Amino acid sequence: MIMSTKRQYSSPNCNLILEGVEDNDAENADILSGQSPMSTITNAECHLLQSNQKLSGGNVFLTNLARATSSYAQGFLSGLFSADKPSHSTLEYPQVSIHKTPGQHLHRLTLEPDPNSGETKTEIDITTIELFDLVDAIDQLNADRSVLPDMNLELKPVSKRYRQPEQPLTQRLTPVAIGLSSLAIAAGALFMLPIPETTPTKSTPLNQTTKTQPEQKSQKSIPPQTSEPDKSNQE
Amino acid sequence: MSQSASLESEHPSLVDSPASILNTLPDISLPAKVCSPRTQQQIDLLLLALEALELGASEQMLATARQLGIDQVVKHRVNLWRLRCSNPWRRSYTRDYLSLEQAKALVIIAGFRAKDLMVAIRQLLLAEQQMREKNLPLDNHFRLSEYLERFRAHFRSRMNSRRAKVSAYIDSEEQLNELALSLLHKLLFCTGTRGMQRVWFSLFDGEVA
Repeated sequence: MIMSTKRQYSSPNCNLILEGVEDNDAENADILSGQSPMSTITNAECHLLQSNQKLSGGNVFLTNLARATSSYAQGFLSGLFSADKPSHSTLEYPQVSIHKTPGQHLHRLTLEPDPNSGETKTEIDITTIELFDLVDAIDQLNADRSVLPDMNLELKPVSKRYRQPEQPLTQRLTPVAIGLSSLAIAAGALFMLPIPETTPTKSTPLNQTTKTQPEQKSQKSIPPQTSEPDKSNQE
Repeated sequence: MSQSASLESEHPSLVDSPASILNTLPDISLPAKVCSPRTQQQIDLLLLALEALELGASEQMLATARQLGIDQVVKHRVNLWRLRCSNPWRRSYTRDYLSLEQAKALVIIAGFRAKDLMVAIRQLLLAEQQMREKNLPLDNHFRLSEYLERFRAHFRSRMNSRRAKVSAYIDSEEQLNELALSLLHKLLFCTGTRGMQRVWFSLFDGEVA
């Protein structure tokens, strides 16, 4: 015998009402309560009380809503949104997505129906408290093992591949750019300078260095005799 | 530790394992086996927001630890303070790393405190929303301004202003207010059915392979 049943999950700003069919197979009944699980959803309604809006749909809508809300909530908490490609079920219509509204402190919940069905897209701006209440209603549903036992929302931390560098690229590149440009300016300025005239000395540079070192030492240690050739060198 | 905890949890009637509540938060496979400085900073800031919410919050945290049976991990006031000093932003940063168990204990304490303070948190966030709708400065609301002021005072007195990030926050009142409110949002999420797990996972976002 097929029995239709209704479940409701409520939080202060959000009511989630599910209508479905109980699976009367005795094997699947809950061991403790003897209650049969509701394994098929015929209709799901999500009432957002503060903005007085209602979203409704079937099984796909509920799954997509739960996934989108859950992953957005985690991104909202950590500031890191995973860009994982949606799996097959989330590609089905109606699609649900949540984005932060720029400038305001709100979250835009978008319900996109199948483009062939002719229905229009629904957009609702919800506050953070409403978002939390929506997440909580979904978590209540998820915690209730007598409804949709197959549905599970896996929570896991976002991989470090999606981690944003703490400083934006432009900021990190500035020191490099400043360094390169100052080098270029210095090179340009030095290019303008005349090439210093070299006094033709016949000795090789290697010899010069070997010569000067002992000369400097000898300057310190002693006397006028050594300083004379030094002067002549400079002249 | 986890082994002994799982052994004990098989006989919950005999002795309530002190660490059993820690198992409500799943283990995270971290490459270094200890928390990253960013995670530690987030945990300490959450506790700082709790301190701005209620007076005598650190005593309440210790009482909660005792009540939950995790006073083996968070033993006393000094121990709690040392754990919190793993936040790299602190003046008294200890350069220690929190083990997963210690991090779990702190998050659970924060979560339970947030549940107790849920009404106040919701009221403050509702006030924030109303102030924003009316385009009024946040400080115009008495209780909200009290929370923000206390948070700013705690932040300024404990964080190391020589760190670039911290000094940017200290210089700008607006940024500090935003930080205080974002922490309040996190505390709100802690109060949910699975909220503590959500906050726990979000602490490790961008840390795992």
